[in-house]
Amino acid sequence: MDVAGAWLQRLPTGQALWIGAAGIVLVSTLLRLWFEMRPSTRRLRASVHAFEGTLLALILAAMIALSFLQVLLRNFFDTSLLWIDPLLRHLVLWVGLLGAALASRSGRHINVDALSRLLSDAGLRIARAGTNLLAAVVTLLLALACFRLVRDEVDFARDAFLGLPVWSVQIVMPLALLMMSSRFLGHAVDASRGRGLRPPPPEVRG
Amino acid sequence: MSWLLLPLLVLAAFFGAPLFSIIAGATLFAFASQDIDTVSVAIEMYRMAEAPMLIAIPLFTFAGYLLSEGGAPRRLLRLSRALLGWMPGGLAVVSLVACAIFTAFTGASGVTVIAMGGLLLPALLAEKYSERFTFGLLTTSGSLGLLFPPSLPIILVAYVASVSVDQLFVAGIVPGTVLLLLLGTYAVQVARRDHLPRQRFSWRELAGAARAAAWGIPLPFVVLGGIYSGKVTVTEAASLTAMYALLAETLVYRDIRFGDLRRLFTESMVLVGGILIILGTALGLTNYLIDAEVPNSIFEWIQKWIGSRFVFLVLLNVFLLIVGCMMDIFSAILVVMPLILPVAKAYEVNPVHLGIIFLANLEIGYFTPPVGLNLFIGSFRFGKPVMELARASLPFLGLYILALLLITYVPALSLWLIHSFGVR
Repeated sequence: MDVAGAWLQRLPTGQALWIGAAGIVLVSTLLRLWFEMRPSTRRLRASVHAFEGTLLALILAAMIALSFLQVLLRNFFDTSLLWIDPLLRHLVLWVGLLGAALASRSGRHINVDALSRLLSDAGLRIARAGTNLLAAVVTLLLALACFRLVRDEVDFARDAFLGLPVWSVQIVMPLALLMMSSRFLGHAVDASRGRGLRPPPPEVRG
Repeated sequence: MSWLLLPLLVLAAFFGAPLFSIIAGATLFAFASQDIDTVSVAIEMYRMAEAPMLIAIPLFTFAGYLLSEGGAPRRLLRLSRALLGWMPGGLAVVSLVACAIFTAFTGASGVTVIAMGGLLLPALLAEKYSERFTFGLLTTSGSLGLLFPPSLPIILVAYVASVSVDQLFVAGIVPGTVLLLLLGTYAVQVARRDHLPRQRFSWRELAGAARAAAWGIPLPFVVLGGIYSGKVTVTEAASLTAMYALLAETLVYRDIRFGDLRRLFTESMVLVGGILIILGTALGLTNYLIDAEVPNSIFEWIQKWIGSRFVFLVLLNVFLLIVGCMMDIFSAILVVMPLILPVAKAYEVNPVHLGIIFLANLEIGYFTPPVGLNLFIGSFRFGKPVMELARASLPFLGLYILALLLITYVPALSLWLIHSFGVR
């Protein structure tokens, strides 16, 4: 933990960071395209996906179990564990961002896609590539803002709960956003090559 | 150049860009153009971890997913049919009630159209309800439950408006019931007009249905009773609901196999992620807009034209109906509501009442073109063109608007229960 903290503290500021993160996304996307056909990378991506899903499921399971435990303690034993509430609140942040990262993978973010029904295939290519590229750029900028927040937080060295420093729970924000940015970029590339244009049938979104 | 960016963002939104990216893009642009460090956007996003109320969102969403995947829709339908099926228009009334309960508990009206719509469609057609009535009914009653606790949008409204969830949960009951009664009366009329056959009431069927649903029946009472009596907070109620649904569906009914459980855990959190990422980015935008005193300027501008609260409410309704046509409910609550809130306060609209007006308006937005989500989900589920569903929804739209007017201009509908029970 300390090593990682020290490394984060040494991260360059400003433009260097921008260029660095842009480079990460660019390189990862190029790598992704390059190795796309190889079964080994397909397996790697499948296992990253499985890992995200499992992590998300575990966090939710922890939320259900811990909040239930807290209800029992409060109502039947007139006591409570102080660390459960802040932990639960931070797990909301984690499910939110990891869930959003998974939503980016399958293109299931909430949107108001009203006009693309009117487009021809060629128009749709441009629209899908454009909107995904926009999302990739915006999430990258967000990720950079979050990286700087995390770096500042390393300096502040505040505790969140159970002795965990705040930055160690915040780190999910830039990481998930970087993942999202890379995924949006992947969708943009796919769309420009005419793949995955017609969205899957409307999923249940709320 | 930079002034081109905002119209471009709006255009991108209508071509299907994820809404959170539009909101985040606008926020980053706004902060950068004011020379404010964009790290503020990240700081606002981290505030997601500071609101205990938000813990309820993943828990309720998960419970809703679990219930809709298992046999709960079937059992709920059988029970309400045994209870209400004997009335003229019985099955239509049953559809309304079952959809309302289901949406309130799953918090997701699209789930209702899929889960309940699939069961009700063949049943309604078999009882000789006209196609047009049936499709209109099923498309529009998906959002019917949003005013009833513990629906997800109510929790979001409470969070944004900083009013107590307990108050909003109580405030929604009478307006929701008014809407339900209006639609129910219409259904009875239609059944009478078309001379539809009536079902006979049977104690035996009721007992059978109640036995089948025995494990589900206590759920609303535990949740609502707990919240209304003040014994549990909303978060605790969400926790109880999630645990209860989990145990009932996996151990008692065994509708959900253990292997499916991981998928449900993940799937439900994808929806939660979609909502929370909008929430996180909207916090930044709201912060900027409040700092820039945008609500103040809106107020000063409209104050020149509108002196009375009455006219303000008329305009608010028109405006929100347009918003409901263009935006999804979550972004509308998270982005538009913070702007309207201070303005409405200046016109002495009670924030709880305002929240209910918002929800009633946005309920309608679910089935108005071009963006009405349930039109598309219904079109997919029933295999009918979107425009046909929109046409079939028209009579229901009229009733929803009538209810909306009542809710807006009779604040007592929303506030009476709160005052008489002294909910805080």
